[in-house]
Amino acid sequence: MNIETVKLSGSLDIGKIEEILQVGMEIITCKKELIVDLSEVTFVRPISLVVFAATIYNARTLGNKLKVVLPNKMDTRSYINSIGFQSFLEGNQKEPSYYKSYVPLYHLDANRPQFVDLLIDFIQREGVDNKTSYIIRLGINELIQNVFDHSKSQVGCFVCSQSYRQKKYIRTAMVDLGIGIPTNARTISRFKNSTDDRILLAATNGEITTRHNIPGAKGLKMLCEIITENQGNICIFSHKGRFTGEGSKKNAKLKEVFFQGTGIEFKLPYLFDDEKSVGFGFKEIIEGEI
Amino acid sequence: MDKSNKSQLTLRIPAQFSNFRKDGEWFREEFIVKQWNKVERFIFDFENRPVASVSFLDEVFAKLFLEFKPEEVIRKLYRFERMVPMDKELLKEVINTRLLEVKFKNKLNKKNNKVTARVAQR
Repeated sequence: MNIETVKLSGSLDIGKIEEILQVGMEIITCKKELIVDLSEVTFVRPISLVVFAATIYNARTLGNKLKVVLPNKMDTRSYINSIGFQSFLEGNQKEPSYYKSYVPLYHLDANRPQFVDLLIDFIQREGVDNKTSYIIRLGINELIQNVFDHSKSQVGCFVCSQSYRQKKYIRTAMVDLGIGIPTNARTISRFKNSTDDRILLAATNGEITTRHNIPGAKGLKMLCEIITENQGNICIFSHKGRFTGEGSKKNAKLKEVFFQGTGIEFKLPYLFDDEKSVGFGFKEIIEGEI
Repeated sequence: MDKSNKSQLTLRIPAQFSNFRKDGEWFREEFIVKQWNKVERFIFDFENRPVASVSFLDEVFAKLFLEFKPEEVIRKLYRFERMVPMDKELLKEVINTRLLEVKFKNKLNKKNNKVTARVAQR
């Protein structure tokens, strides 16, 4: 029998994203039996788990056979288990728990959008203020809307979030296996010949919307702005493009590995003061003359 | 949905609502457009629940500018109660983008009408 093995070791953080995506693509494209060996992995960040979850789900729907060897290190294994990756491998969805500091791995699709509310309720219960959780909700809504509208993803999208209580920040990762931001952008004539990195830069500037003059690219732009203005950071990857934003620095470059869908990871401190809502009339928010 | 009187309608955005484009389209058609001629003032109560969706706000509110006269929309969408401040900012962005689209289309239509009139004169 022809069995292939892909192995990852050490710390699976954003610095190793290329290796993680490489393994993800091998999981999707492998026609034989595949063993994903994580036995020597010592640390995982949510982004690596969502990439694996999405690609494994996709491979399974295609009928590919694969086996995942979990890390030997107890701490890492226990984290993977608690965040719901092991349940996912067994075909179950782990429910959020009131006391935990993470949002377990969630599979969101067109038939289960109500999980966004569950996810955000959990984040708010965690003690994250309204404004922070609002931005997370906005980002997730935007990404999922894009999955429904454009990405043509049969898989939906995977989300996972970890709250670091002592350091007071939250890290959220989302991945979809759709057609990717560059494919969408290239349907607009001025982006036809643009490289993947330039397209990601334009997307985060709110310049890309495939619906003529229809609001739709605002969410990603707002998400990037608010995160970077508030000591957070964001990383977006789609096809060969990789965008990172931190403070006033925005950087987009081409990576070696092609990734079919789109992934987002952001870190956001709980820094904000909550504002009170007040009633208002439409006239107050119209700009200029009608 | 609470009916106060014939000409004023208060609509609550239900807490269990998911905030995607298709949900917004359904809400606009079902609760606003169908009542448009019967209702003079719409009041929307968000109950301090964040919407956080460009698509939803665009479908429910901003797209009304494509269907009705802007002055009429502004007059009829009378109050937005208990909307979280960040949703107010989003709504502002969304409706002003749609208004730009309406202005652009009106300009284009006027231009086309002039051209058609000139061709007809010849």
